[in-house]
Amino acid sequence: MKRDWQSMQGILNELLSNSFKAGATNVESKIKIEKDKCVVWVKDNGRGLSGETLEEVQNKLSQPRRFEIEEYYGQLAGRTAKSSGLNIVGMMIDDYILETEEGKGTEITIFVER
Amino acid sequence: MFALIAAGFFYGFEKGIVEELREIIIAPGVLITDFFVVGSPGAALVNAGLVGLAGLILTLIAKIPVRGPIIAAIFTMAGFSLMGKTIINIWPIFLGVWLYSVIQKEKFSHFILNALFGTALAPLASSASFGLELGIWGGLVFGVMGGFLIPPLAGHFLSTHQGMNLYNVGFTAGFIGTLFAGIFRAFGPGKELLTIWGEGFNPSIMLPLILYFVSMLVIGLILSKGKLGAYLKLHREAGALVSDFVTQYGPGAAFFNMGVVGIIGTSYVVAVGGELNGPSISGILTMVGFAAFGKHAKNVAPIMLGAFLSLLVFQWSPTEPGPILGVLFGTTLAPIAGTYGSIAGIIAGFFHMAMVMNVGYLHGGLNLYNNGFAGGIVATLMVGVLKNFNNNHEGVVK
Repeated sequence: MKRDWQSMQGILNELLSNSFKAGATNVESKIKIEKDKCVVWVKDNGRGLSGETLEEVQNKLSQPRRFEIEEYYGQLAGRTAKSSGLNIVGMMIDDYILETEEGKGTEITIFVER
Repeated sequence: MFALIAAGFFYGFEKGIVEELREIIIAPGVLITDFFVVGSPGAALVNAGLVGLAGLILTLIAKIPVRGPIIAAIFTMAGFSLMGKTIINIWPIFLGVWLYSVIQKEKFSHFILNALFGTALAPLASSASFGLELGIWGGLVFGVMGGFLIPPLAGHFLSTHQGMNLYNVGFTAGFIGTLFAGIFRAFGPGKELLTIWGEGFNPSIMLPLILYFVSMLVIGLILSKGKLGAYLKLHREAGALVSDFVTQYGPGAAFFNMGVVGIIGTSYVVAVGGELNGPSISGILTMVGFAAFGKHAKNVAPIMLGAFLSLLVFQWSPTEPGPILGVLFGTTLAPIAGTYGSIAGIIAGFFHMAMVMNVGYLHGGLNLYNNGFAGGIVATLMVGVLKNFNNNHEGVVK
Protein backbone atom coordinates (compact mmCIF):
# COMPACT_ATOMS: atom_id res chain seq x y z
CA MET A 1 0.00 0.00 0.00
CA LYS A 2 2.82 2.35 0.92
CA ARG A 3 4.55 1.62 -2.40
CA ASP A 4 1.36 2.32 -4.39
CA TRP A 5 1.01 5.57 -2.54
CA GLN A 6 4.60 6.58 -3.33
CA SER A 7 4.28 5.69 -7.03
CA MET A 8 1.00 7.55 -7.42
CA GLN A 9 2.47 10.61 -5.73
CA GLY A 10 5.44 10.59 -8.14
CA ILE A 11 3.21 10.18 -11.20
CA LEU A 12 0.87 12.93 -10.03
CA ASN A 13 3.80 15.29 -9.37
CA GLU A 14 5.10 14.68 -12.88
CA LEU A 15 1.71 15.35 -14.49
CA LEU A 16 1.13 18.47 -12.39
CA SER A 17 4.52 19.88 -13.27
CA ASN A 18 3.77 19.37 -16.99
CA SER A 19 0.46 21.19 -16.54
CA PHE A 20 2.20 24.18 -14.99
CA LYS A 21 4.86 24.14 -17.73
CA ALA A 22 2.01 24.31 -20.23
CA GLY A 23 0.90 27.56 -18.62
CA ALA A 24 -2.17 26.15 -16.87
CA THR A 25 -3.90 28.42 -14.38
CA ASN A 26 -6.59 25.95 -13.41
CA VAL A 27 -5.54 22.38 -12.58
CA GLU A 28 -7.74 19.63 -11.13
CA SER A 29 -6.42 16.25 -9.98
CA LYS A 30 -7.63 13.04 -8.38
CA ILE A 31 -6.07 9.77 -7.21
CA LYS A 32 -8.15 6.65 -6.69
CA ILE A 33 -6.70 3.43 -5.28
CA GLU A 34 -8.97 0.48 -6.06
CA LYS A 35 -8.64 -3.23 -5.33
CA ASP A 36 -7.00 -4.16 -8.64
CA LYS A 37 -5.71 -0.81 -9.94
CA CYS A 38 -4.73 2.76 -9.12
CA VAL A 39 -6.03 5.68 -11.17
CA VAL A 40 -4.45 9.13 -11.46
CA TRP A 41 -6.42 11.88 -13.20
CA VAL A 42 -5.29 15.41 -14.08
CA LYS A 43 -7.16 18.08 -16.05
CA ASP A 44 -5.73 21.50 -16.90
CA ASN A 45 -6.45 24.57 -19.00
CA GLY A 46 -2.91 24.81 -20.39
CA ARG A 47 -1.80 25.19 -23.99
CA GLY A 48 -2.72 21.63 -24.92
CA LEU A 49 -0.77 19.28 -27.15
CA SER A 50 -0.57 18.85 -30.90
CA GLY A 51 1.65 17.62 -33.71
CA GLU A 52 5.10 16.35 -32.86
CA THR A 53 4.77 17.13 -29.15
CA LEU A 54 1.58 15.09 -28.88
CA GLU A 55 3.23 12.21 -30.71
CA GLU A 56 6.23 12.40 -28.38
CA VAL A 57 4.01 12.29 -25.29
CA GLN A 58 2.05 9.33 -26.67
CA ASN A 59 5.27 7.46 -27.47
CA LYS A 60 6.59 7.98 -23.97
CA LEU A 61 3.37 6.91 -22.27
CA SER A 62 2.86 3.88 -24.55
CA GLN A 63 6.01 2.08 -23.42
CA PRO A 64 5.61 -1.34 -21.80
CA ARG A 65 5.61 -1.32 -17.99
CA ARG A 66 9.06 -2.15 -16.65
CA PHE A 67 9.26 -3.22 -13.05
CA GLU A 68 13.07 -3.17 -12.92
CA ILE A 69 13.02 0.52 -13.93
CA GLU A 70 10.13 1.30 -11.59
CA GLU A 71 11.90 -0.23 -8.60
CA TYR A 72 15.14 1.63 -9.12
CA TYR A 73 14.35 4.83 -11.00
CA GLY A 74 10.70 5.22 -10.00
CA GLN A 75 11.61 7.65 -7.26
CA LEU A 76 12.72 10.11 -9.98
CA ALA A 77 9.12 10.53 -11.17
CA GLY A 78 8.09 14.07 -10.36
CA ARG A 79 11.62 15.02 -9.39
CA THR A 80 13.56 15.26 -12.65
CA ALA A 81 15.28 18.57 -13.33
CA LYS A 82 14.04 19.15 -16.83
CA SER A 83 13.83 16.13 -19.05
CA SER A 84 12.87 12.44 -19.10
CA GLY A 85 10.14 12.65 -16.45
CA LEU A 86 7.31 11.42 -18.68
CA ASN A 87 9.62 8.68 -19.91
CA ILE A 88 9.80 7.30 -16.38
CA VAL A 89 6.03 7.62 -15.93
CA GLY A 90 5.56 5.69 -19.19
CA MET A 91 7.57 2.79 -17.76
CA MET A 92 5.53 2.76 -14.52
CA ILE A 93 2.01 2.57 -15.94
CA ASP A 94 -0.20 0.04 -17.72
CA ASP A 95 -2.57 2.25 -19.68
CA TYR A 96 -3.68 5.85 -20.19
CA ILE A 97 -6.35 7.99 -21.80
CA LEU A 98 -5.26 11.36 -23.18
CA GLU A 99 -7.64 14.04 -24.41
CA THR A 100 -6.14 17.32 -25.47
CA GLU A 101 -7.05 20.36 -27.54
CA GLU A 102 -4.59 23.03 -28.56
CA GLY A 103 -5.24 26.28 -26.70
CA LYS A 104 -7.86 24.70 -24.44
CA GLY A 105 -6.11 22.20 -22.22
CA THR A 106 -5.37 18.57 -21.51
CA GLU A 107 -7.09 15.79 -19.58
CA ILE A 108 -5.15 12.65 -18.78
CA THR A 109 -6.12 9.50 -16.91
CA ILE A 110 -3.39 7.02 -15.92
CA PHE A 111 -4.05 3.39 -14.93
CA VAL A 112 -1.62 1.30 -12.88
CA GLU A 113 -2.47 -2.33 -12.16
CA ARG A 114 -1.80 -3.57 -8.62
CA MET B 1 31.01 -11.21 -23.75
CA PHE B 2 32.04 -14.30 -25.68
CA ALA B 3 34.25 -12.02 -27.80
CA LEU B 4 36.02 -10.86 -24.62
CA ILE B 5 36.66 -14.47 -23.56
CA ALA B 6 37.85 -15.36 -27.06
CA ALA B 7 40.15 -12.31 -27.03
CA GLY B 8 41.53 -13.48 -23.69
CA PHE B 9 42.49 -16.85 -25.17
CA PHE B 10 43.91 -15.05 -28.22
CA TYR B 11 46.28 -13.05 -25.96
CA GLY B 12 47.17 -16.20 -24.03
CA PHE B 13 48.43 -16.85 -20.50
CA GLU B 14 52.06 -16.89 -19.36
CA LYS B 15 51.43 -18.90 -16.18
CA GLY B 16 48.27 -20.66 -17.30
CA ILE B 17 44.67 -19.46 -17.06
CA VAL B 18 43.96 -21.02 -13.64
CA GLU B 19 46.98 -19.46 -11.93
CA GLU B 20 46.43 -16.02 -13.49
CA LEU B 21 42.71 -16.01 -12.66
CA ARG B 22 43.64 -17.02 -9.09
CA GLU B 23 46.00 -14.01 -8.85
CA ILE B 24 43.16 -11.73 -9.98
CA ILE B 25 40.66 -13.28 -7.56
CA ILE B 26 42.88 -12.98 -4.46
CA ALA B 27 43.77 -9.33 -5.16
CA PRO B 28 41.85 -6.91 -2.88
CA GLY B 29 40.69 -5.26 -6.10
CA VAL B 30 40.43 -1.73 -4.76
CA LEU B 31 41.00 1.27 -7.02
CA ILE B 32 43.19 1.28 -9.10
CA THR B 33 44.17 -2.38 -9.62
CA ASP B 34 44.94 -3.12 -13.25
CA PHE B 35 44.20 -6.79 -13.88
CA PHE B 36 46.36 -6.57 -17.02
CA VAL B 37 49.25 -6.32 -14.53
CA VAL B 38 48.00 -8.40 -11.57
CA GLY B 39 47.06 -11.31 -13.86
CA SER B 40 47.61 -10.71 -17.56
CA PRO B 41 45.64 -9.16 -20.43
CA GLY B 42 44.41 -12.65 -21.35
CA ALA B 43 43.21 -13.52 -17.85
CA ALA B 44 41.70 -10.06 -17.35
CA LEU B 45 39.68 -10.39 -20.57
CA VAL B 46 38.46 -13.88 -19.63
CA ASN B 47 37.46 -12.55 -16.19
CA ALA B 48 35.62 -9.64 -17.86
CA GLY B 49 33.77 -11.98 -20.21
CA LEU B 50 32.80 -14.32 -17.34
CA VAL B 51 31.55 -11.47 -15.14
CA GLY B 52 29.57 -10.00 -18.05
CA LEU B 53 28.07 -13.41 -18.81
CA ALA B 54 27.17 -13.90 -15.13
CA GLY B 55 25.24 -10.62 -15.24
CA LEU B 56 23.58 -11.56 -18.52
CA ILE B 57 22.56 -15.03 -17.30
CA LEU B 58 21.15 -13.53 -14.09
CA THR B 59 19.14 -11.10 -16.23
CA LEU B 60 17.81 -13.90 -18.44
CA ILE B 61 16.90 -16.02 -15.41
CA ALA B 62 15.05 -12.99 -14.01
CA LYS B 63 13.23 -12.77 -17.39
CA ILE B 64 14.09 -9.11 -17.81
CA PRO B 65 14.40 -7.96 -21.45
CA VAL B 66 17.89 -6.82 -22.46
CA ARG B 67 17.40 -3.12 -23.23
CA GLY B 68 19.32 0.11 -22.56
CA PRO B 69 19.82 -0.03 -18.78
CA ILE B 70 20.71 -3.74 -18.80
CA ILE B 71 23.23 -3.19 -21.63
CA ALA B 72 24.76 -0.31 -19.64
CA ALA B 73 24.98 -2.50 -16.53
CA ILE B 74 26.50 -5.51 -18.31
CA PHE B 75 29.16 -3.43 -20.09
CA THR B 76 29.94 -1.61 -16.84
CA MET B 77 30.34 -4.96 -15.08
CA ALA B 78 32.57 -6.33 -17.82
CA GLY B 79 34.62 -3.14 -17.98
CA PHE B 80 35.25 -3.05 -14.25
CA SER B 81 36.27 -6.69 -14.35
CA LEU B 82 39.49 -5.40 -15.85
CA MET B 83 40.12 -3.54 -12.61
CA GLY B 84 38.40 -4.83 -9.50
CA LYS B 85 35.42 -7.10 -10.10
CA THR B 86 36.02 -10.80 -10.32
CA ILE B 87 33.90 -13.83 -11.09
CA ILE B 88 34.00 -14.54 -7.33
CA ASN B 89 33.61 -11.19 -5.53
CA ILE B 90 30.40 -10.15 -7.32
CA TRP B 91 28.28 -12.90 -5.70
CA PRO B 92 28.09 -11.51 -2.14
CA ILE B 93 26.69 -8.29 -3.62
CA PHE B 94 24.02 -10.23 -5.55
CA LEU B 95 23.23 -12.12 -2.36
CA GLY B 96 22.83 -8.88 -0.41
CA VAL B 97 20.42 -7.45 -2.99
CA TRP B 98 18.49 -10.76 -3.05
CA LEU B 99 18.22 -10.67 0.74
CA TYR B 100 16.80 -7.15 0.54
CA SER B 101 14.20 -8.30 -2.01
CA VAL B 102 13.18 -11.21 0.26
CA ILE B 103 12.73 -8.90 3.26
CA GLN B 104 10.75 -6.46 1.10
CA LYS B 105 8.64 -9.40 -0.18
CA GLU B 106 9.34 -8.33 -3.76
CA LYS B 107 10.63 -10.31 -6.72
CA PHE B 108 14.44 -10.26 -7.09
CA SER B 109 13.92 -9.46 -10.79
CA HIS B 110 12.60 -6.02 -9.81
CA PHE B 111 16.00 -5.29 -8.25
CA ILE B 112 18.13 -6.63 -11.09
CA LEU B 113 19.61 -3.21 -11.94
CA ASN B 114 20.57 -2.64 -8.31
CA ALA B 115 22.27 -6.04 -8.27
CA LEU B 116 24.19 -5.57 -11.51
CA PHE B 117 25.32 -1.98 -10.91
CA GLY B 118 25.79 -2.73 -7.19
CA THR B 119 28.84 -4.85 -7.97
CA ALA B 120 30.68 -1.53 -7.72
CA LEU B 121 31.15 -2.63 -4.12
CA ALA B 122 32.68 -6.00 -5.03
CA PRO B 123 36.08 -4.92 -3.61
CA LEU B 124 34.38 -4.72 -0.23
CA ALA B 125 34.23 -8.53 -0.22
CA SER B 126 37.76 -8.98 -1.61
CA SER B 127 39.23 -6.39 0.75
CA ALA B 128 37.64 -8.01 3.80
CA SER B 129 38.71 -11.50 2.73
CA PHE B 130 42.19 -10.88 1.39
CA GLY B 131 43.12 -7.34 2.50
CA LEU B 132 41.93 -7.55 6.12
CA GLU B 133 42.47 -11.33 6.14
CA LEU B 134 38.98 -12.03 7.50
CA GLY B 135 38.66 -15.08 5.29
CA ILE B 136 35.83 -16.19 3.03
CA TRP B 137 33.12 -15.61 5.65
CA GLY B 138 34.38 -12.10 6.43
CA GLY B 139 34.23 -11.22 2.75
CA LEU B 140 30.78 -12.73 2.44
CA VAL B 141 29.41 -10.79 5.40
CA PHE B 142 30.80 -7.41 4.30
CA GLY B 143 29.81 -8.02 0.66
CA VAL B 144 26.26 -8.98 1.59
CA MET B 145 25.96 -5.91 3.84
CA GLY B 146 27.11 -3.69 0.95
CA GLY B 147 24.67 -5.30 -1.48
CA PHE B 148 21.81 -5.04 1.00
CA LEU B 149 22.28 -1.28 1.31
CA ILE B 150 22.32 -0.58 -2.44
CA PRO B 151 18.57 -0.82 -3.32
CA PRO B 152 17.17 1.51 -0.66
CA LEU B 153 19.98 4.04 -0.97
CA ALA B 154 20.28 4.09 -4.78
CA GLY B 155 16.69 5.29 -5.12
CA HIS B 156 17.17 7.75 -2.29
CA PHE B 157 20.26 9.38 -3.82
CA LEU B 158 18.66 9.72 -7.27
CA SER B 159 16.59 12.68 -6.20
CA THR B 160 19.62 14.70 -5.04
CA HIS B 161 21.00 15.05 -8.56
CA GLN B 162 17.62 14.60 -10.28
CA GLY B 163 18.90 12.06 -12.80
CA MET B 164 21.85 14.16 -13.99
CA ASN B 165 24.53 11.69 -12.85
CA LEU B 166 24.29 8.53 -14.94
CA TYR B 167 26.46 6.42 -12.57
CA ASN B 168 24.00 6.81 -9.71
CA VAL B 169 25.03 3.57 -8.01
CA GLY B 170 28.58 4.94 -8.02
CA PHE B 171 27.30 7.98 -6.13
CA THR B 172 25.48 5.68 -3.70
CA ALA B 173 28.35 3.23 -3.34
CA GLY B 174 30.69 6.12 -2.63
CA PHE B 175 28.81 6.87 0.57
CA ILE B 176 28.54 3.19 1.53
CA GLY B 177 32.26 2.70 0.77
CA THR B 178 33.10 5.74 2.86
CA LEU B 179 31.19 4.23 5.79
CA PHE B 180 33.03 0.91 5.53
CA ALA B 181 36.44 2.51 4.90
CA GLY B 182 35.86 4.56 8.03
CA ILE B 183 35.03 1.41 10.01
CA PHE B 184 38.08 -0.43 8.64
CA ARG B 185 40.34 2.52 9.49
CA ALA B 186 38.77 2.80 12.94
CA PHE B 187 39.96 -0.73 13.70
CA GLY B 188 43.49 0.08 12.63
CA PRO B 189 44.22 -1.25 9.14
CA GLY B 190 45.09 1.46 6.66
CA LYS B 191 42.87 1.87 3.64
CA GLU B 192 45.20 3.65 1.29
CA LEU B 193 44.65 3.93 -2.46
CA LEU B 194 46.66 1.78 -4.84
CA THR B 195 47.85 2.55 -8.33
CA ILE B 196 48.68 -0.57 -10.31
CA TRP B 197 48.64 0.84 -13.83
CA GLY B 198 49.79 -1.20 -16.82
CA GLU B 199 51.92 0.32 -19.56
CA GLY B 200 52.97 -0.69 -23.03
CA PHE B 201 49.85 -2.55 -24.13
CA ASN B 202 48.76 -0.01 -26.80
CA PRO B 203 50.31 -1.73 -29.84
CA SER B 204 48.60 -5.03 -29.13
CA ILE B 205 45.27 -3.71 -27.77
CA MET B 206 44.39 -0.70 -29.93
CA LEU B 207 43.54 -2.42 -33.21
CA PRO B 208 41.35 -5.19 -31.72
CA LEU B 209 39.57 -2.58 -29.61
CA ILE B 210 38.85 -0.36 -32.61
CA LEU B 211 37.69 -3.40 -34.59
CA TYR B 212 35.34 -4.31 -31.71
CA PHE B 213 33.69 -0.90 -31.93
CA VAL B 214 33.64 -0.93 -35.73
CA SER B 215 31.79 -4.24 -35.52
CA MET B 216 29.16 -2.44 -33.43
CA LEU B 217 28.82 0.16 -36.20
CA VAL B 218 28.33 -2.61 -38.74
CA ILE B 219 25.78 -4.44 -36.57
CA GLY B 220 23.99 -1.15 -35.99
CA LEU B 221 23.84 -0.45 -39.72
CA ILE B 222 22.55 -3.95 -40.45
CA LEU B 223 19.85 -3.72 -37.79
CA SER B 224 18.87 -0.24 -39.06
CA LYS B 225 18.85 -1.49 -42.67
CA GLY B 226 21.47 1.12 -43.57
CA LYS B 227 19.42 4.07 -42.35
CA LEU B 228 20.92 6.48 -39.82
CA GLY B 229 17.83 8.63 -39.23
CA ALA B 230 17.05 7.18 -35.79
CA TYR B 231 20.70 7.41 -34.77
CA LEU B 232 20.85 11.11 -35.70
CA LYS B 233 17.52 11.80 -33.98
CA LEU B 234 18.82 10.23 -30.79
CA HIS B 235 21.15 13.23 -30.33
CA ARG B 236 18.13 15.36 -29.45
CA GLU B 237 17.88 13.51 -26.15
CA ALA B 238 19.35 15.21 -23.09
CA GLY B 239 20.38 11.78 -21.82
CA ALA B 240 19.16 12.25 -18.26
CA LEU B 241 17.98 9.19 -16.36
CA VAL B 242 15.96 7.39 -17.71
CA SER B 243 16.77 7.49 -21.46
CA ASP B 244 16.57 4.02 -22.96
CA PHE B 245 17.84 4.39 -26.52
CA VAL B 246 17.10 0.74 -27.36
CA THR B 247 13.41 1.16 -26.61
CA GLN B 248 13.10 4.70 -27.96
CA TYR B 249 15.21 4.50 -31.14
CA GLY B 250 15.68 0.77 -31.78
CA PRO B 251 18.63 -1.58 -31.29
CA GLY B 252 20.24 -0.53 -34.59
CA ALA B 253 20.57 3.12 -33.59
CA ALA B 254 21.70 2.12 -30.10
CA PHE B 255 24.39 -0.24 -31.41
CA PHE B 256 25.67 2.38 -33.86
CA ASN B 257 25.79 4.95 -31.07
CA MET B 258 27.72 2.51 -28.86
CA GLY B 259 30.30 2.02 -31.59
CA VAL B 260 30.71 5.77 -32.12
CA VAL B 261 31.09 6.50 -28.40
CA GLY B 262 33.60 3.65 -28.05
CA ILE B 263 35.71 5.09 -30.85
CA ILE B 264 35.54 8.55 -29.23
CA GLY B 265 36.79 7.16 -25.90
CA THR B 266 39.58 5.12 -27.48
CA SER B 267 40.63 8.02 -29.71
CA TYR B 268 40.91 10.33 -26.70
CA VAL B 269 43.24 7.97 -24.81
CA VAL B 270 45.42 7.44 -27.87
CA ALA B 271 45.42 11.14 -28.85
CA VAL B 272 46.74 12.33 -25.48
CA GLY B 273 49.35 9.56 -25.40
CA GLY B 274 47.62 7.64 -22.61
CA GLU B 275 47.78 3.94 -21.87
CA LEU B 276 45.20 1.44 -23.10
CA ASN B 277 45.13 -0.96 -20.18
CA GLY B 278 42.59 -2.56 -17.83
CA PRO B 279 41.35 0.62 -16.13
CA SER B 280 41.23 2.82 -19.26
CA ILE B 281 39.45 0.11 -21.28
CA SER B 282 37.08 -0.20 -18.35
CA GLY B 283 36.31 3.51 -18.78
CA ILE B 284 35.76 3.08 -22.50
CA LEU B 285 33.51 0.02 -22.09
CA THR B 286 31.43 1.82 -19.49
CA MET B 287 30.99 4.73 -21.91
CA VAL B 288 29.94 2.23 -24.58
CA GLY B 289 27.39 0.56 -22.30
CA PHE B 290 25.84 3.88 -21.36
CA ALA B 291 25.62 4.81 -25.03
CA ALA B 292 22.49 2.62 -24.92
CA PHE B 293 21.29 4.52 -21.88
CA GLY B 294 21.87 8.26 -22.18
CA LYS B 295 25.25 9.04 -23.72
CA HIS B 296 25.91 10.17 -27.28
CA ALA B 297 28.62 12.12 -29.06
CA LYS B 298 26.87 15.45 -28.54
CA ASN B 299 26.50 15.22 -24.77
CA VAL B 300 29.81 13.49 -23.93
CA ALA B 301 32.04 15.82 -25.97
CA PRO B 302 31.58 18.97 -23.80
CA ILE B 303 32.23 16.98 -20.60
CA MET B 304 35.40 15.42 -22.01
CA LEU B 305 36.53 18.81 -23.31
CA GLY B 306 35.95 20.49 -19.93
CA ALA B 307 37.76 17.73 -18.05
CA PHE B 308 40.67 17.89 -20.51
CA LEU B 309 40.88 21.70 -20.38
CA SER B 310 41.09 21.51 -16.58
CA LEU B 311 44.32 19.56 -16.99
CA LEU B 312 45.90 22.53 -18.77
CA VAL B 313 45.68 24.51 -15.53
CA PHE B 314 45.61 21.83 -12.84
CA GLN B 315 48.76 20.13 -11.57
CA TRP B 316 48.08 16.77 -13.23
CA SER B 317 49.17 15.55 -16.66
CA PRO B 318 46.50 14.19 -19.06
CA THR B 319 48.39 10.89 -19.29
CA GLU B 320 48.31 10.15 -15.54
CA PRO B 321 45.93 7.39 -14.38
CA GLY B 322 43.44 9.59 -12.50
CA PRO B 323 43.07 12.18 -15.27
CA ILE B 324 42.71 9.55 -18.00
CA LEU B 325 39.90 7.89 -16.04
CA GLY B 326 38.46 11.28 -15.05
CA VAL B 327 37.94 12.30 -18.67
CA LEU B 328 36.45 8.94 -19.73
CA PHE B 329 34.23 8.31 -16.70
CA GLY B 330 33.48 12.03 -16.34
CA THR B 331 30.92 11.44 -19.07
CA THR B 332 28.65 10.29 -16.25
CA LEU B 333 27.72 14.01 -16.33
CA ALA B 334 26.65 13.93 -20.00
CA PRO B 335 23.02 14.78 -19.04
CA ILE B 336 24.19 18.17 -17.76
CA ALA B 337 25.53 19.02 -21.23
CA GLY B 338 22.40 17.56 -22.82
CA THR B 339 20.03 19.47 -20.56
CA TYR B 340 21.73 22.78 -19.85
CA GLY B 341 23.96 23.12 -22.93
CA SER B 342 27.58 22.70 -23.93
CA ILE B 343 28.97 25.52 -21.75
CA ALA B 344 27.42 23.97 -18.65
CA GLY B 345 28.84 20.63 -19.79
CA ILE B 346 32.35 22.04 -20.13
CA ILE B 347 32.09 23.57 -16.64
CA ALA B 348 30.79 20.25 -15.27
CA GLY B 349 33.76 18.41 -16.80
CA PHE B 350 36.14 20.97 -15.30
CA PHE B 351 34.65 20.62 -11.81
CA HIS B 352 34.49 16.85 -12.15
CA MET B 353 38.24 16.54 -12.59
CA ALA B 354 38.89 18.54 -9.43
CA MET B 355 36.34 16.48 -7.51
CA VAL B 356 37.34 13.02 -8.71
CA MET B 357 40.99 13.55 -7.81
CA ASN B 358 39.89 14.37 -4.29
CA VAL B 359 37.22 11.92 -3.14
CA GLY B 360 38.88 8.52 -3.62
CA TYR B 361 40.49 8.66 -0.17
CA LEU B 362 37.07 8.79 1.49
CA HIS B 363 36.11 5.26 0.45
CA GLY B 364 39.66 3.99 0.13
CA GLY B 365 38.94 2.57 -3.32
CA LEU B 366 36.17 0.27 -2.02
CA ASN B 367 33.77 1.89 -4.48
CA LEU B 368 34.97 1.10 -7.97
CA TYR B 369 32.73 3.78 -9.49
CA ASN B 370 34.74 6.61 -7.95
CA ASN B 371 33.78 8.87 -10.86
CA GLY B 372 30.12 8.16 -10.18
CA PHE B 373 30.66 9.34 -6.61
CA ALA B 374 32.46 12.51 -7.73
CA GLY B 375 29.99 13.04 -10.58
CA GLY B 376 27.06 12.77 -8.18
CA ILE B 377 28.49 15.50 -5.99
CA VAL B 378 29.16 17.78 -8.98
CA ALA B 379 25.71 17.10 -10.45
CA THR B 380 23.98 17.75 -7.13
CA LEU B 381 25.78 21.08 -6.76
CA MET B 382 25.26 22.18 -10.35
CA VAL B 383 21.63 21.13 -10.66
CA GLY B 384 20.84 22.91 -7.40
CA VAL B 385 22.03 26.15 -8.97
CA LEU B 386 21.13 25.69 -12.64
CA LYS B 387 17.51 24.70 -12.13
CA ASN B 388 16.86 28.11 -10.62
CA PHE B 389 18.19 29.87 -13.70
CA ASN B 390 16.61 27.58 -16.22
CA ASN B 391 12.89 27.53 -15.62
CA ASN B 392 11.77 26.58 -19.07
CA HIS B 393 8.06 27.22 -19.19
CA GLU B 394 7.95 26.86 -22.94
CA GLY B 395 8.40 23.12 -23.14
CA VAL B 396 5.43 20.97 -22.27
CA VAL B 397 7.08 17.59 -22.33
CA LYS B 398 9.57 17.07 -19.55
